[in-house]
Amino acid sequence: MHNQHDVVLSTRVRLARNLADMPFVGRLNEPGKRRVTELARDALPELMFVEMDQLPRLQAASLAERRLISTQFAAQEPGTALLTQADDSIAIMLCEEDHLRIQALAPDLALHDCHARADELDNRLSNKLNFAFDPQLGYLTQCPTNLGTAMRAGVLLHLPALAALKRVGGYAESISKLGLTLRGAFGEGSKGTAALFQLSNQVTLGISESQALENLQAYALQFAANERNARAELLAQPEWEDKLWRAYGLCKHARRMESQEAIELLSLLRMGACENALPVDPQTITDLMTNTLPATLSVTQHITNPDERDRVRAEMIRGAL
Amino acid sequence: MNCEKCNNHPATTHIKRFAGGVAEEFHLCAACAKASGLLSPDGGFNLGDLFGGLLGNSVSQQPAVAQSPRCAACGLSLQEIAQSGRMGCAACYDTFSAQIAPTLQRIHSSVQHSGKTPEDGNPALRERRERESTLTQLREQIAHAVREENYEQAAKLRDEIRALEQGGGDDA
Ligand SMILES: [Zn+2]
Ligand SMILES: [Zn+2]
Repeated sequence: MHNQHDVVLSTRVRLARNLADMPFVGRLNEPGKRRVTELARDALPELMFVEMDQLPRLQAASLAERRLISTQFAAQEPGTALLTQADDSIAIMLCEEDHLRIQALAPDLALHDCHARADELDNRLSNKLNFAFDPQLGYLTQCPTNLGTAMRAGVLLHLPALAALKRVGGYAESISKLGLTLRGAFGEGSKGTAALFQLSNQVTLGISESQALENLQAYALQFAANERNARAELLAQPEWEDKLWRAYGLCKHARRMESQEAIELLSLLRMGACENALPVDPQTITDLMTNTLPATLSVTQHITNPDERDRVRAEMIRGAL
Repeated sequence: MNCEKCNNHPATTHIKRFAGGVAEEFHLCAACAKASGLLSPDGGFNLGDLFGGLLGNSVSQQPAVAQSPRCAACGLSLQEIAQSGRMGCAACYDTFSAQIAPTLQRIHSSVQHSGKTPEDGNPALRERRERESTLTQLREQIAHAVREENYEQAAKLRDEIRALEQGGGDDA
C-alpha cells in the first residue's frame, strides 16, 4: 500500500536471528563476534560489509539519524559490523543485540514489501547458517521479549496536527491494547519533536508475521486518516495559517539555524506542503528533515568545524526553497 | 507499595502494558524504571531488564531453584540471567525452560510460536528434516519388528532405510 506519504514517512521490518551453535552476543568475545560477522558476510557476498569500528564517528552517527542502525549500534563496538546496500533499502546489523538483525526499509507505507525482502534475505541466510529455533518458542533471541517471530515492524508517522490537538496520547493508549506501541521517534525525553512517531508491533510470540503486519497496516491507515482530518480542522483556523507562513518566512530568510529549530519548522512546512497550504514540494521538505540533521549534514557537506553547521543548514534550507 | 524489581524503593513509576488483549502493570522505582529501558531514548521498547527483574522475583520465591545448575553450553546461571535479563545461548532456553516459563507467560500473551519456521522458504532443509524424521520412524519400526521376531518385515524396512540414506547422501 503506497501513497500514504503525506503521513507515513518510512517503513522498516526487522528480523532477529541467532546462530544455534554460538553463545549470544552478550557472551561472545571480540574474535567470536568477528566470526559471526564473517559468516554473515560470506552468506550474502553482494552486500557492502562495513566493520563499525572502522567507520568515521560522524558517518556512524549519520546512519543512526537515517534510521538504518540503532543509536546503540552507532557506539561502534569492536566486532560489530553492518551489511548494507547503496540505496539504503537493506541494513543488517551484525552482533548488535542479536547475531543478526535483518532490516528492510522503504519510504512510505510498505510493510509487505519490506517484509518480503527481509524474509527473502532470511531464507538465503538460513540456507547457509543454522539459526536457533524452537518449535514452541520460535526463533530464539538473546532477550526473551523478542521470542517467536522475532519480527519488529515499524512505520514512521508524521502527526503534526494530532500532536497540536493533543490527541496522540489517547491513541497511544488505545492501540497498546492491540499489541502495538506508539512512541516519539526521538525518544521519550524529546517526545513529539517534529511530531514524528514510531508505530510498531510489540507482541512477537503467538502471533504470525502476516497477522502482525495486517494489524499494523490497518492502524497505520487509521492514523493517516485521523491525521488528515485533524490537519483540515487545524488549517481552517487563521492563526494556524499564519503560523505556517511564518515558519516558511523564517526558513526562506534565516542565515543561521540550529538543528532543533530546523526540525520543528520543517515539520510545519511539511504539513503545509502536503495540504497545499504552502508553495513547497513535500518531498523536498521530507529530504531536508533528514539531510539537515547534525551528523548527516556534516558528512554530506564535509563540515569539519561545528560552528559552520548552523550557517550551512540555513543556506541549504534557503537553497531548497 | 515497593518497587517490583529491587523491592528496596517505593514504586513511583507505573507502567501499563497490554499484550494480546491482556493488561499488565509494572510498578517500579525511578531508578529501576530508568534501568528497565522502558523509558530509553532509543526506538526499541526494551523489556529485557524488566524480564530479568520479574524472573529474579520468581526465582527468589522458589528456594529449590536457587541451586539450579548452570547452562552446560555457555556456563550461565539462572541468577545471572535474572540480573541481566538476557539469555546466554540457545541452550539456556532448554536448561532453564521450567524456571523461565512463568515469566514468559507474563511477558507474552501466548507461549506457542505461530509463524515462520526455518524450513519455510528452504526446501533443502525441509527435505532433510523430513528424511531424518522418516528414518527415525523406520528405525523404531525395525526395532519393533525384531522384538516381534518378524525378520521378513525387518529386512524390508532395512532396504527402505538404505534406499532413503543413499537418495539423500549428497548433502550429508
Ligand atoms: Zn527499584
Ligand atoms: Zn547457555
